[in-house]
Amino acid sequence: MLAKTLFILLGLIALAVPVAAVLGWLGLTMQYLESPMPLHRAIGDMVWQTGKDFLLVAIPMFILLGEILLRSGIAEKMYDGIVKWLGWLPGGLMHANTGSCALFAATSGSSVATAATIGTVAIPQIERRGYNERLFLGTGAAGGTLGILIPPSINLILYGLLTDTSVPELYLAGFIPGFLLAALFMATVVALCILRPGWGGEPITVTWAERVAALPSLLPPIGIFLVVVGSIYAGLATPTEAAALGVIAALGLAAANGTLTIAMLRDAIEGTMRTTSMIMLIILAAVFLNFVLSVIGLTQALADFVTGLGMTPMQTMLVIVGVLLVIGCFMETLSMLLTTAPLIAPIVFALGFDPVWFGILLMVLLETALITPPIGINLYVVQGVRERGDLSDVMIGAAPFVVTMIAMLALLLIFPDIALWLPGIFY
Amino acid sequence: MFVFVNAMHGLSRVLVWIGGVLILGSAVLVTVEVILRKFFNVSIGGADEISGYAFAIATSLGFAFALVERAHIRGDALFVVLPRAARLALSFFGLALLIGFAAVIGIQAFSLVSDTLEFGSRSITPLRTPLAWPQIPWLSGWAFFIFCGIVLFIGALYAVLTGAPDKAEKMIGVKTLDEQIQDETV
Repeated sequence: MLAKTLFILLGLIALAVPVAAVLGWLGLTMQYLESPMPLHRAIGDMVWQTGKDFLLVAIPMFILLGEILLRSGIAEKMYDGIVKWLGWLPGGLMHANTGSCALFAATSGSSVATAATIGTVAIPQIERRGYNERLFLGTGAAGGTLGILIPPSINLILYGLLTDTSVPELYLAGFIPGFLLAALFMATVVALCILRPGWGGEPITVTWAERVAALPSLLPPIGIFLVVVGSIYAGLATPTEAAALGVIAALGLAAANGTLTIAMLRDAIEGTMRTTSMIMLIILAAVFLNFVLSVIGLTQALADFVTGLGMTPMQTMLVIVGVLLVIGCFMETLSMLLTTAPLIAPIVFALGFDPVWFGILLMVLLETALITPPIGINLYVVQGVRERGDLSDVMIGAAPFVVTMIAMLALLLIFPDIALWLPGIFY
Repeated sequence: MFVFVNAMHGLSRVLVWIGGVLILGSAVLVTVEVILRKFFNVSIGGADEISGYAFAIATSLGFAFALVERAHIRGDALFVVLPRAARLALSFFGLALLIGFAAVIGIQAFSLVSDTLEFGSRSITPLRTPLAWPQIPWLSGWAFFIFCGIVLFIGALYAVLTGAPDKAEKMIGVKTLDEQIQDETV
């Protein structure tokens, strides 16, 4: 049963069938092969119930929020502001790449949009200031992945939905690891630039007056972050309500910036709905698949199989992490989350690991998947924005950050409290 | 034929704007609800329910647009190294499976809505919304999605048969990276 499932799953993905159809047909086929009951009759109700789930309303809201910030020019201004504050470190603008990605991640959830925006602004600076091109591109690709981990993350909402874990708790758990990972990225750049001083480019000199003058451009993202995340923890709003507040706040900022136009809104809406509908079709198929797999007992069989191997929980966890790192090289993140979470999470919980902690660990694994070749969306995005040279430059440049992410995974495995300390205070 | 495909693209865009307005409207409604609840201790009630319906409708109205814009994710690791004929064959195959799955959902959704109409079902919430109101536009979105898929399939087939495989690839193929970045940035 397990072999059949994997065969169909991997076969259809290799044939470039749209991911939603892969998950849907896998569910229908497994039901046909293994279940005496016509489970597909439940699909109409399931799709309706999931489709109107208030928790998921947060998805279009967060995407819209990001689109508005992006298309109203607020994100670009933010980059200039961060350059003024972080540019003095060895590695200069590369820290601004990471920092702006982290801050942008803290306001929206899209990795592709983050990498594309920062890439567009930053890449022309490589030659002007003589940076090591590969490392510079790597900071863009790696920084863009932070959106998955730093709240408000759409992936954390999906994980919460699939595993019945509290989203506010996951958000709290994502803070420290998210910002720690951003700090580790910056430490990686500093270390490399100290070892190879030629990589760091020409230093940037900024006066304190300029820094203070740049502060207003940093306020919008910080303000949105406070509105969204603050309202959740002040007990004022649920994640979805916070996302709605964020959308309204972003509209206000765009208006203040003089860029709130009908044309901008139309583009933002088209972008939002294109992404939302794409994601939702996959989610609906995944929910159906999840249901079929648990009814036919595959989830349980897999858990039994793994516990029957007689490994200690930590050994099992290391195997899972290893397998996911390999899968991440070939699979796109959203599909990876939606196919692996329903299968692997029950095993992990049965072994006694904390669901919130595993959610964070899984997010770091997904981030790694975004920049590991041959399939790493962020590598392609950065290369696409760059429009010259070879993709291998970006891959090599991103490699040090893959090592950093693996170090982060090790830290999470050894010190689970990095993720669990903050939610522990509140809950 | 192509006029028909273009008209469908245009219509799907209009539906997306309607969906977008529903989402923006929900954002306003939910914000008002949060502010009233916090500062005036009153609740308009049902903001979550209504925005849930708006979301379901907006999403289903957007499926067709995501399809014609080729936004539905496909694993293209192997795909990109294949010759064009094989790529096109796989694109037709993928589209057929996508539409087939949508049709399975569509049929079950249709029977759900028929039941709703027959029994006059209402939501079990204080609003007691007649479920047919949100479900009928929601079902229409699925129907339009399936319809668009069929038109796109026939249109691309027509393009191949009349010796315009380029056109077929633009309709049902995988988006190139440049096109993708164009969408994501300003």
